[in-house]
Amino acid sequence: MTDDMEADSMFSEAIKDVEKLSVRFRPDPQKLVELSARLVTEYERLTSEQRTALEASHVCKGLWKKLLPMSAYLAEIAVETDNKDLIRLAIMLHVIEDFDYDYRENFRYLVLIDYAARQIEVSFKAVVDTTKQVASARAWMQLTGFADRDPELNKLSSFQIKATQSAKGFRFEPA
Amino acid sequence: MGQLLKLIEIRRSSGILLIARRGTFPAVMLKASDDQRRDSTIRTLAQDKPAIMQLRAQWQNVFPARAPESFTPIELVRMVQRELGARSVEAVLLRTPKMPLSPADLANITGGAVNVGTNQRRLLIARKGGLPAEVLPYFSPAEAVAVLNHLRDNDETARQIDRQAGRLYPDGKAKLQGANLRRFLAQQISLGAMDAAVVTQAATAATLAARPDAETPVGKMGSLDRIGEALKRSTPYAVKAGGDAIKSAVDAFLQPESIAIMIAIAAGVALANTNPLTGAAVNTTLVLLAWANGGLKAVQGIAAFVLATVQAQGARTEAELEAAAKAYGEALGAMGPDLIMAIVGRFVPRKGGGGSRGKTSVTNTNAPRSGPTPTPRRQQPSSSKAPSPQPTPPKQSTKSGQSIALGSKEAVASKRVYAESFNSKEPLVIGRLEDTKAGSELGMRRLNDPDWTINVNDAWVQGGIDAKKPFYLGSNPTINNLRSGNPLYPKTVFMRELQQLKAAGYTRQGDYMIPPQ
Repeated sequence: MTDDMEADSMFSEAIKDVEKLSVRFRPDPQKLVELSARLVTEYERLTSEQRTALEASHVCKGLWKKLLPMSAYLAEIAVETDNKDLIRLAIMLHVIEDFDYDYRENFRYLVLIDYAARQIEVSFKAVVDTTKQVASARAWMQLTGFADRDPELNKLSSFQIKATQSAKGFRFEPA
Repeated sequence: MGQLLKLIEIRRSSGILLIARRGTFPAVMLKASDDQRRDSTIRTLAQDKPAIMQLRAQWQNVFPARAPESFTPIELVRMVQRELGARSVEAVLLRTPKMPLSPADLANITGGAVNVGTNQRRLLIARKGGLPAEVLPYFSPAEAVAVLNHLRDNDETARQIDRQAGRLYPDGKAKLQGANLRRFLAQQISLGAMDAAVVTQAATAATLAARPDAETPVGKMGSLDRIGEALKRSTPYAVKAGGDAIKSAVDAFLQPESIAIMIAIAAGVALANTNPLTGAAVNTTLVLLAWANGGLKAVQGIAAFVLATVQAQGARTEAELEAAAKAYGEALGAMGPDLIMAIVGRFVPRKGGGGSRGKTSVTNTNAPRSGPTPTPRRQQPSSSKAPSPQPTPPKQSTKSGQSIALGSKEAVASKRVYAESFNSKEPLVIGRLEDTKAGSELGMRRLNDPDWTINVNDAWVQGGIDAKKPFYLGSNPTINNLRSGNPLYPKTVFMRELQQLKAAGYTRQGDYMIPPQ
């Protein structure tokens, strides 16, 4: 098996694990981070041709219901653990989803990541810039479009969400 | 006064529906009406037998001839709708949204010590043992008595003592004023029943002047402080306007545990009149309470209360603040004791539990009533819901009561997309963005705005609703397109759009959502 084929296969394995993950309930943080990191790593190992083929095949098409909530949970964990790397992982899940279903759904989750990034003093835009090599033209356009918007448009209240801190930890909740 | 009005009043779980000849309702009532809920209430009236009985019974209050007995409920309702359409009559629906106030709002209320004077010299008086720790080194009863004896009624410090003296009494009410009060205080201090300190050291005096219990010059007050101060000073004017009957109600209205809530309500009222995007909730509650507790006169009292609040907010001098206090007093007088107690009962949490002291509840609006005369009834727990998210310029609010700041990028975008859909000559298409793209390629109009937010989306849909336009369903309304499975956002944007349309009375016909006839 060539390296390329192996990467393809490993990415498919990671996708299968994502499909099995339930996001209706808060996943175990450690497992979530591990799975997300594996998925992103395998995605980045793909060649640009493989990623283009992936885009065309819509393999991740139905996965927006998993990937987007995963990004929200990652954003919460990032704030709770002050782990700046999780911001990139969360954004990368959107890159993988490729804004395929409806960019409006992505925006609803990107505001959470943007908020988390500001909480732990990470530049959302700078992180977005690091995804340029692997993001599709569509994902790149949407991500930079979001990052360049007036910050006032990306505030939680514009999406009817609030951030709370309780004994359970940092959470996003419907406002 | 309300009894003289010729109108039809129907009480339903959705609120109080009032129908009258055009021009009957004052502007404050029209502004408070939930128009969307009003229309849907009228549409469903025919299915509600008690409501139809009320409509028949009061028919001649508004319409010249008796309602024909042969008319079915549907025909009666159609007749009302026709008259509304012809603008010969008008209708308002008053309902009670939730008021986002909690006992935590009381947290900032301070009391206990009188803290008066200037930045150079402060006089503090407290019940025994109640002086703040930082002034204990300045404990000086004799000096305090001397200061009290030197003061004259018109001195600003003397007026401050009059205003703050209630803090020294367990019930928050000062029994004396002016020279009598100062004499009494001097006596209590001399006897050791009260503690007092005089601070002449400039730095300490300035620090004390900055304490929350000190009075700030009007020009330096925040707008909420000005409202609070004007409300506190309004009692004598209210008694003058409303007579002794109103005194105990005003006292309850301005109790320390009530005042924070009242300031919040008043601030909300002021906001409603400066920012049309946020105000309806507060206005509606107040106007509904007014209607239920005093009819038109009380509603006019609320209107005066609104003006007084705006006046208090803008006060920059003592004289202007006093004028606002007078305006509040006159408004409270017009509102009357029943309404004031109802407001206290509705908004102020009681110590040690819930309950209400209001004479007439507005949370249970099922019982029929022949007119706006108050009917004593036990307060029921509130069951009404906050208005659903239908941001329409000029009234733009979200489910949670959040608002969009006027002039903000989001507000501008909302207004723009609202106008786009409202004025669109092309059919409107909703659904998943990729699917609506296909619709737009066929000449339909979709929302695809770089400034997109949920609120902007709501505004765009609302524009179409207000223009009574049909919406083409670009995506199939399948579970997959409606549900996300994530508790944070259980509904997709598409599903929110459909719900907004359904709430406005739209029904699905094939691939279209059709407006109500």
